Amino acid sequence: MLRIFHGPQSRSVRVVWLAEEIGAPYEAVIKAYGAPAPEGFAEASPLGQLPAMTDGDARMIESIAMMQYILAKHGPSPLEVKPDEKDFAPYLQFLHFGEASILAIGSPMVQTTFRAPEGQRENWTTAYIRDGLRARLGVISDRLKGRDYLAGDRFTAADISVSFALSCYTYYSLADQIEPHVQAYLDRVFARPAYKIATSRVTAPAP
Amino acid sequence: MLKIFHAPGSRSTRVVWLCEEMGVPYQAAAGDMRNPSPEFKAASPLGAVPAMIDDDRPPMIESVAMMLYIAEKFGPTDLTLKPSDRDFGRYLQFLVFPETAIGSEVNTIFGARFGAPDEHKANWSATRCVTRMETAFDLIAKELEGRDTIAGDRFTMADIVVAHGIGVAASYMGYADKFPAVLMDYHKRMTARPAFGRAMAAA
Repeated sequence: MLRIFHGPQSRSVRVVWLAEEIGAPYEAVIKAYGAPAPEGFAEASPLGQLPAMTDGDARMIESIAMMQYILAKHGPSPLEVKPDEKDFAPYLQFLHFGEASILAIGSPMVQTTFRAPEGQRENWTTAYIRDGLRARLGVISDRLKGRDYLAGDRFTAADISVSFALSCYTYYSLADQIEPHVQAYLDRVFARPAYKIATSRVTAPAP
Repeated sequence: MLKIFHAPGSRSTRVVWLCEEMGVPYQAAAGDMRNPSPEFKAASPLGAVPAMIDDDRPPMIESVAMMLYIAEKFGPTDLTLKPSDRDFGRYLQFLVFPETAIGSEVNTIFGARFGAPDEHKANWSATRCVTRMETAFDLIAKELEGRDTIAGDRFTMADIVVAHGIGVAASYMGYADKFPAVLMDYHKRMTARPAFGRAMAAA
């Protein structure tokens, strides 16, 4: 069974959210920030970070890869856009964009904000990253004009990837850049029960 | 036909390399980020390479997504692992990891190196990115111990992404003499493939 090391504010939200959406059986092991690592975490996560997931002998530490793994193993699911559908390319693109072009770019800035010595928490690079994140928000904003979802005219894993990334714009001090149609999109996807389960402090394992 | 906006050595190398491996026809177009053509600008809203257009489909700007797209559309190919393969999870993971844990850090490091005034080139954030990138390479080195390829018992798309990451650090960031032999030997093995040579010749 899937064993997902989970923090309700970490990237593991994507993975638990997806598992809940498609009804894939999983066990969530809560890894609270600053608390001692739960059993098995060190082996599952060689860099000591969330998320980490095991499935039998398989060990994974990349949230997008985990989502693709779960969809491939527990699908088919409407949360995937299939190769013969019109929006296959944008689906793959935004599935990866949410991490590769947003969160992975934003991480060093968040770390700077929380960990750099006083006086160095804003520097040339944090301004550079913030400019980049603003431009990336523009890409999402353009895509969502006239659309309820990013790809396939329905809710998909690409929405999980990107909406979670946009929820971090608060940490980037860029939440005020989110336009009304993008905010409406976020409200729509975050209203889903599976999201609420994934972000609640105690995540119930599926029956 | 696929049109790939390409700058040799950049992430677009991954996509061109994959096409060469699979024998997929493509046209390489100049992805000149300083003097972008109107067509490149239209395809790449962030002004970065790669960008890819497949006929009338919307442009793509994520290299790993492009690779997954090409493998599906022009496959089947033995450059992917299947869900039933023992190393499927590992394959997906290392297809993504070199972008999220290395490529993104390289972006920020180069941003400071080439864009920042001298006194800001090694600021706290850029230095932190170097540390994170080195940690990621340490993990890859550990995972390559005793293996010919990163996942499964054959060359896959994950090797393209991992080898490209090592190549960028070795060629442009001075790591060729610092990396352990396990990384450099692997890189040499992967880039000895004829398809890589053809990809490097694409302009």
